[in-house]
Amino acid sequence: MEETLRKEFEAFVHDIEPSLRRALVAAYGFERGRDATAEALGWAWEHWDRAKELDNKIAYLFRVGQSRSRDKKTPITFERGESSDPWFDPGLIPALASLTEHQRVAVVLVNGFDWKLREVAELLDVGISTVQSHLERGMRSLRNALEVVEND
Amino acid sequence: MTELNERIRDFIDTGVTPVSAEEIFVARPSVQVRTSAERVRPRVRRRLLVLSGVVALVIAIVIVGLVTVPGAKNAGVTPASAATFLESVAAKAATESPLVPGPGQYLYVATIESATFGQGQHPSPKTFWFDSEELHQVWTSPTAPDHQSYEIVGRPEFVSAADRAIWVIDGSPLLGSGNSEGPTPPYYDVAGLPTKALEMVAYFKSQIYLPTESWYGSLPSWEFGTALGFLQNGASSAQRAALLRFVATIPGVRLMGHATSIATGQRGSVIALPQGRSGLTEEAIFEPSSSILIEDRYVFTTLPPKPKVTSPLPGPTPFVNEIQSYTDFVFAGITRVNSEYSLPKETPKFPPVWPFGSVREPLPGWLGSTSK
Repeated sequence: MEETLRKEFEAFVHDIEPSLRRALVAAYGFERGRDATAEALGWAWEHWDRAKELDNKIAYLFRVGQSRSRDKKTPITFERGESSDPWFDPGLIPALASLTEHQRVAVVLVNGFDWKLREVAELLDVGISTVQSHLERGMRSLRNALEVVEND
Repeated sequence: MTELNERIRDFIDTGVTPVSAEEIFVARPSVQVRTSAERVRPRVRRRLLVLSGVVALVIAIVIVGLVTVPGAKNAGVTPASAATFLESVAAKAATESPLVPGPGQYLYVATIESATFGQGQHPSPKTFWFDSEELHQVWTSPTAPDHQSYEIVGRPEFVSAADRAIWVIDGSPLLGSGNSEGPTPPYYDVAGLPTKALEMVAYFKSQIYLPTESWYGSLPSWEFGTALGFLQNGASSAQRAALLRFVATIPGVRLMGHATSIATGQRGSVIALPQGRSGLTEEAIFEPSSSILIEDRYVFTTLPPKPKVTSPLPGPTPFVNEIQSYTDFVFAGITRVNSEYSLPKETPKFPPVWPFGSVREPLPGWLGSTSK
C-alpha cells in the first residue's frame, strides 16, 4: 500500500518540485527557498490524501512553504557554495536581492521560466495588472543594476 | 528568450539542488504516522489571564482591560518624547568596547525567543498548538564558519484548553523538539560601526550581507530593525549612544512607557515603530541606565487584514495587543570555538532544556484564547 503511495508521490514531486522550488527560491533566496520547498513537499507527503486533490497545487504549496519558512529577520541570500558552477553571473546576486519579493518572483518566473502573468497572479494572490507592474519595475531595476540595454 | 532572461534562468536553476521525493521520505518516514512537530511561525500570547466559568461578555471586558494595561500605551506619547528619552539614555551610556572577534574567533550571542508549534496527528484531524521559548545560540564571524543552534527551554504551554483537548485525543504524544540548527543570522560588523548618528544609514547600506530595505518593506522599518540588530550584536557604549540618537530620528518612532521582558523579566522603557499594514508594531525595551537592549518584540496593535486565500495551516486567531513574538537578549561575548561546548567564561546559566522524549505535560493553556 505504502509503496503505491510512494510512487504516486514521486510522480507528484517530479511534476511539481521544479516550479515550486523556483518560486520559493525567487522569493527567499537559495538556502531559505530550498528549505521552504522541502517543508512544503514534506507537508504534502504528510497530508497526501489532501495534497493530491488540490486544485492549484503549486500556489497552495507555495503558501505552505511561506508559512513554514524561518522568521523575517533571516535575510534573503543568493550566495553560492564553493562547489557550485564558478561561471555564474555574480552581478545578479545584489541585483536580485535589491528587488522586492514580488518583483523578484515576477521577474524570475515570467522572464526566466516563461510563466504566464495569470499563473504568477494566482501564486502571489494578487491581480494580473499588479504582477505586470511588479514585472516592469523589477526588470527596470535589474537592467539598471546590471547596466543591460535591451528591449524585451 | 533574451540573454538577460537566460542569465536569470541559469542563475536560479544552478543555485540549489532539487528536492527529491527520497529526501522527503527520509525526513518524514510515513504518511500514516505524523510525528513531526513543525515550526510554523513565531508567536506567543501573553500569559496574563486564566479564566474559567466566566461568561463571554465578562471575558471580553477583562481582556480589553488587561491588554490595554501594559506600558500605558498610547497615553499621550510623542516622537519628541522618544527623542528626549533616547538622548538621555545615550548620554548615560557607560564606557565599553565593541565586541569584535579576532582571526578565528566568533561573536557569540545568546537570546531567548518565542516560538509556536503546531502538531497534527491521528486520530484527531485538527492541529494542536503550543507556545514555547527557545534558547538561540549564534556564533558569527567575518572570517570563520558560522553556526546556530536553538532548543526549547522552560516549559511549553498550550495556546488554549482546546489545543490541550486535541493533544489528549491524539494520545498525548511527545512534543517534538530537541536541538535544531538552521540558517545562521548575518554577521553584524561592529568594527567599523560609526559613533555618529548621521553616519549610520551610509554604514548600514555598506553592509551587503544584512537584510535590505526591500526585505523589511519600508525605510523606517529597515532603519529601526538594523539599528536593533547592531544594538544586540556587540556594539560599544559609544556606538549604542550613536545608534539610539539615530533611532530618535526615524519617522514614526514613539516612546511607549515601561514594560517587562517576558523571558528574562527585566524592566525597561519601550520604544516602538508600527510596521505598516501587517497590524504589527515592533517594540524595543531598553534598560535606561545602561542603554542595553533587553527585548525586541512584535505586537498586534491593530488586527491584520484577512488573507484572500485561506491558509493551509490556520493558526491561532490574533487579537489586539497580543505579543506575536519576542527576542530577549541574554549574553554576548567572544569565543574561539563555534559550539556550545566551549562558551565564554562569563556566559550565564541558561534555563533548563525541555526534556524532549519525556511525557511531561505542557502547561494547560490560556482559556481565554481560541484556536481553529
